[in-house]
Amino acid sequence: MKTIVFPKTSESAKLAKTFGYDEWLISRFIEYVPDINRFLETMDGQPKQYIRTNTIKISSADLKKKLISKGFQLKETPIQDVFAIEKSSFPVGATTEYLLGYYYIQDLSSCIAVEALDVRENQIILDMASAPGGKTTFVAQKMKNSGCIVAIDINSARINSLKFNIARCGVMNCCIYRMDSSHVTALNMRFDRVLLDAPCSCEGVIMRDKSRKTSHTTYDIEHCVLDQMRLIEAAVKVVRPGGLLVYSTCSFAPEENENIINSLLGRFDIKIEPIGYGINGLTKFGETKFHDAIKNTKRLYPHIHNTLGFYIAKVRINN
Amino acid sequence: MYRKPDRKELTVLKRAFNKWGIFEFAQQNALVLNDLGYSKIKEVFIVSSFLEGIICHRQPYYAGLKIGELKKNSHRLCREQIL
Repeated sequence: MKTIVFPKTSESAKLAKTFGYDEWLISRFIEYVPDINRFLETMDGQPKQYIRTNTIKISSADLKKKLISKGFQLKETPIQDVFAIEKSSFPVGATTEYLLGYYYIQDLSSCIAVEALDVRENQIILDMASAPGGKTTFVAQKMKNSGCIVAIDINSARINSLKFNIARCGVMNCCIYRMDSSHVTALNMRFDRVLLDAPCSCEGVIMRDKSRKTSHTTYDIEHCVLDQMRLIEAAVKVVRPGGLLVYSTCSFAPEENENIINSLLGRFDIKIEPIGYGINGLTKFGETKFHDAIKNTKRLYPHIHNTLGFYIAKVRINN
Repeated sequence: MYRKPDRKELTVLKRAFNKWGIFEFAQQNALVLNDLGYSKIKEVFIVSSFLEGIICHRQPYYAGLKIGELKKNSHRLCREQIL
C-alpha cells in the first residue's frame, strides 16, 4: 500500500507552522486523529512515566512501600502491577530498587499489548523483535518463570540490552535467538502465543523524540510496511491452531496498522478479537475501506489515554 | 554450546546449592552449561525445566539466567543472582 498523502489545506498549513511538523504528516493526522489541536498540544509535552512491578522479585505492595518512603507518589492504573509516577524526587531509573530489578520503566501502552496476549503459565511464547525486553520480561512474570519464551532479535547491540534486562529481572524461562524474525519458521516450532511488536515509523513516540516531527518521510512508512508484512506472515504461520497473535506498533499510520491486519483477513482463517482498552481501529482511511472486524483493533492516543501513541490488534488463529 | 551438566559437574553445582540451603531450588529448575570455546571455564545458567529441553535441541544465542561459572572442580556462583 502506497502512503496516502492528503491535499494541503489552510488548516494543515497553520497547524504545521504552529507545532513545527511537516505538513504532509499534519494533513494525515487531521484525517484520523480525534481533537487534533489537543493532540498536537499534548505531543509537545513530556510523556507520562509508568513503572511495572517485577513480581518475580517483589510484590507490588512491598515495592510501593519502598518507593513511597523515598518520596515517590504512585497512582494505580487499569493494569495490575503497573503504576503511574505522579511525583519523584530523583530520576526513576536511579534507584537501588531499579538496579535490583524490582521494577521496569515501561509505558502503559506496552503493558496493554502484553495484557492482550492473555498469557498463561507453562505456555510456549514467541516474542519477535524482542529487544530491549520490556514486554519479554512482563510476559515472563505473568508466566511465573514457567514454560518458555523464545525471544528473537537480529541486532546484537540491542540483544545486549535484552540480556541485561533478562538478568536484572531474574528471568529464567527465556532463550534468545539472533536471527531475522521473518525466518522464524526455520525453528520448526509452534507457539501458543506470538507477540509481534513490529519495527515501525515511530510516529507515536514523537513526545520522546521531537525530531521525528520532520525527520521521517512517506518512504519510511512504505519501507516499514514491507517489513511488517514479511514479519506478520511469518508470525501467523507459527501460531498453533487456537493460539493468539498480538500485533502492535508505536505508529499512528493506518498503512502500518489497520492495513497490515486487513491484509490477513481473507487469506488466513483468523478472527480479530476485541481488546478492553483504547479506541476502535479505523475502518476507512482515504479511499481505502477496511474489513468491519478491524474496529476490534485498538488505537491509543497520548491526549486521550495518557500513553504514547500505540496500535494493538489481537488475532485468534483458527486453523 | 548449551548442554546439560554431566554427573561430576552436577555434583559440584548441587554442593554449592546445598551449602546455601537452597537445594530445593536446584531441584525445581534445571541447570545448563555453556561451553566457552576459547577456555575451560563453563558458564552456568538456571533455566525453567521446560526450556531445558528446547535449548539442548535448538542451540540459542543466549538462554536463562546466568548464575556464575564452573571450572574443573570449583565454581564461581553468585547466590545473589538466584535469590
